[in-house]
Amino acid sequence: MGSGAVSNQVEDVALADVAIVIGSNPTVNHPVAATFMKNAAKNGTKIILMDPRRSDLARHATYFLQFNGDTDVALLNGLLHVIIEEGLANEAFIRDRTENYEALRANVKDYSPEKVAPITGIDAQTIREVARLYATAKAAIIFWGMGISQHVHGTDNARCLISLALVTGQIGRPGTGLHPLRGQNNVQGASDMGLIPMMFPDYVRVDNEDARHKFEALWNTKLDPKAGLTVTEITESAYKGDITGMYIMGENPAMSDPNVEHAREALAKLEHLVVQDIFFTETASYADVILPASAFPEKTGTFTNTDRRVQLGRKALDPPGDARQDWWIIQEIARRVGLGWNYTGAPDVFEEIRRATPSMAGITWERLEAEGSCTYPLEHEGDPGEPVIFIEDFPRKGGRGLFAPAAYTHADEMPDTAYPFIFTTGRQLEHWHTGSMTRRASVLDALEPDPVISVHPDDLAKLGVEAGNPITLESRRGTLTGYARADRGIQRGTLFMPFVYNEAAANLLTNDAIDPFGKIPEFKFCAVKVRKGERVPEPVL
Amino acid sequence: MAIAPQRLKSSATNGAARVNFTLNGTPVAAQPDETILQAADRHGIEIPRLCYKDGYRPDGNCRVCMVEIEGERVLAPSCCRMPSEGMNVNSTGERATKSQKMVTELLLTDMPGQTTSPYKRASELDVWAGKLGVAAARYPQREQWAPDLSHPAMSVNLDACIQCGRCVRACREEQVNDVIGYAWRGEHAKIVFDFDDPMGVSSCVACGECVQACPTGALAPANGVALIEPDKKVDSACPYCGVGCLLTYNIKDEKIIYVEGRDGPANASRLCVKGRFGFDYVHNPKRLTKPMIRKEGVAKTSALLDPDDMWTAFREATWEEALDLAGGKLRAIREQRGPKGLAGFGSAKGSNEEAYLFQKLVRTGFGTNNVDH
Ligand code: SF4
Ligand code: FES
Repeated sequence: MGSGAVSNQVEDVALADVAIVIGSNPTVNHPVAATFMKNAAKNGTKIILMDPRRSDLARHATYFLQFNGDTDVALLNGLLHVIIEEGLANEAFIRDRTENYEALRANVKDYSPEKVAPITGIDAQTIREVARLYATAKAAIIFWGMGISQHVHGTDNARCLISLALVTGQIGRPGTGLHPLRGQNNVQGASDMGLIPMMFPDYVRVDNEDARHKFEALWNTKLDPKAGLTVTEITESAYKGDITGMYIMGENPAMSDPNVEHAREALAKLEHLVVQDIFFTETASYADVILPASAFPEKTGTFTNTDRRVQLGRKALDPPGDARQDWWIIQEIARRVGLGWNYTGAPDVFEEIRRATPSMAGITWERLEAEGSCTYPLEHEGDPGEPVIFIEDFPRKGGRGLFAPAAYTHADEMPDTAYPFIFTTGRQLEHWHTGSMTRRASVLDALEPDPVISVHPDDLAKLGVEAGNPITLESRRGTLTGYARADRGIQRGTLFMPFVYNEAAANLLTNDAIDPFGKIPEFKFCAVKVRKGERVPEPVL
Repeated sequence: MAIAPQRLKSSATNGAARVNFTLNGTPVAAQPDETILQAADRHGIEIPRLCYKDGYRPDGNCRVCMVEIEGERVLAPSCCRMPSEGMNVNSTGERATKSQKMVTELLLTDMPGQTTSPYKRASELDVWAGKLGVAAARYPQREQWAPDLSHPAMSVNLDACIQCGRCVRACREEQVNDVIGYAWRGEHAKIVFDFDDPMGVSSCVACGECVQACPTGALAPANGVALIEPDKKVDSACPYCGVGCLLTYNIKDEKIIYVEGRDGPANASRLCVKGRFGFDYVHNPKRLTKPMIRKEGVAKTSALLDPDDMWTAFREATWEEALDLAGGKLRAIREQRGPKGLAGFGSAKGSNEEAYLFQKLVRTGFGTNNVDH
């Protein structure tokens, strides 16, 4: 659709008659956003939750579709099929604001609810009811999470959701639209700022010649016209010995990468690795130089949330010992590779961001200090900001939304007789990401100290293991042992584990196959076998 | 009753007519959806309140906010009474004040030691008691509850509970976790978690909304930190997820002692367990405080290094030495192998300014687009 951000903000759920929540466990991953969804549900918004795992939000949902993992495209194409077949498509919207509709229509012809029912495990009648509910709502919004993106067909999953919004015209108004819930506190901002290999700031493609010249002028240097490598590609390149020098700031690929043993070998091969962090992370094990950085409450800067709100974090403490501000460290490295930088601090850098990022050009530091939060697009000083976008057109050439039909395909590694269980990963409420912060936060560690693996009680019974005891999982890439937790919300034959524990790193098992378009690895699906476990190792903290 | 209707975007209030009434002799204009108490607040006129909390559904159970309305026989609770055109309201007259004081005194009676809250500095009850000039109580105390210290993040001391029900609304209507409830009746009435379980074993998800809502400290952050007066308060944001909750750090002696939710557009003063209670990683003794350089001859293997053993592989360095080595070698690789030999991972946890500088460094200094997060 030509955009890297949400069309509507979380609070729009209050204005929606219907909200689809798919591939997301918001009460765990976005707890405060979930509270607004629950408030809305109490006020009459009908929530349609679709997920292979039953999460806490199911209690507030009008429909809960516990579909078979990996069958998202089949399910969503089934919904599209019903909408088109039953004449619920928004013909005027399709005519005036979209293109390639015929291709979509031809593609979903094959996905009748009767046909997708056995694939997805959702009966045809339910698929029909849900399709009608969404299509005929006065306003309907879709939220999704990493359960949509972290598959080899993650881009296809997202394309189907975009098609749902376009075919029904449920976009461009308050209470409608598409909202991919952002994981980390500034993952939106990092992408906005060009911390991705194919785009400069503001989503300008590096191979777009005119735009590149603009950045060459702003930065006063020649720029590489070819897209760079993504995280998993960089790891692979390091493994092969092509990339030999790396600078890693505040990321922990030795925990967060899929097939993490392979990633650790790659990191160990680097000739020169500079790690900048606040703790001796798993990744620091492979460093040549470690630079002590500052934690969030020790610095001032702007952060962009899932709603496109640019918000100010203010320094409350000094960094400990000789630790320094991150912007200062980056600048000192820049000077040593030959750049004559002379920034004086976050407000100074923000001024340059305004010039590099037209959609944020109107946000001033003074306004952020006064208001604490501004929503972009906000192009001119004094503008209110635009909480709803795509009201009149889409940011593509010609302004039309593009239907991108998707065919149902399988995960890269399907369960078989040797590895009969599906293994899927995610987060849990008390911990964050690789745990470098939360496992060192006393209250959070007290609440969830040990690596737990969620298992259906029937599977546990078959294994002859009681909940709370160790089980060992093995995939083609690695082995780990954690404590079994009985969970009726999980489907039989599936195991779930948070990737936060280094004594049982879930990513030892995961598959590093990536989505060819989005380049996001398949964290959500691989094949494992299970047995009674021995001892869970001690964490390294 | 609709939940938190004030959160719903509504233009209804803009067009509709205001309500003009008189409060303590001053003419006041209320918005059409405002209660007497809310209109008073906007005009800087203070009326005592305890069970009322801004942003929450008014419940009208404590009766400390009573006002006199001309022509009405009984006093009215201003937190849930809408003004009407031409109404004449008095919140400071003899009848109203007497009633406000009486309620405050009865509530103080049931406080531990019949005095200021032992769990929270400047509790709301204590502040109103001070303003109304209500001190020692004249009545016998009710039976007291034993403390519940079963949760690592929060302490429960129901001997200071005034049963205003703010925690119940916090848990059921704001965060909708449905853990806290009201059990039993009359003098046995009690705030309970699930089926009167200790908080630490209940289904509580530790969002701490109830702690933030409690006006007396009966529910408070653990270890008595609510009794400490912070040296400073810093308005900031949460470092964890993409929701982007705004919060306030309370700092004492260069340490964060507790965190409160701030009224941000994405969180309406709410937080979750991570944002509210997950802050002391900052003060963890294992924070890195010195630049470090790998010791000569220590080979790299794929095995993880225990942070406790980090000095076996690394030595301390000055910033100058560490930066020269870090940057110098990156530069050397660029010169020898070309830009393709280099890559950088910036952070999705860092600020926009850091992300911007980092990608600019990789693109203009390393000469490659090999930058991701
Ligand atoms: S308080 Fe919780 S919900 Fe809010 S930003 Fe932090 S982690 Fe996310
Ligand atoms: S504040 Fe009005 S009745 Fe409690």
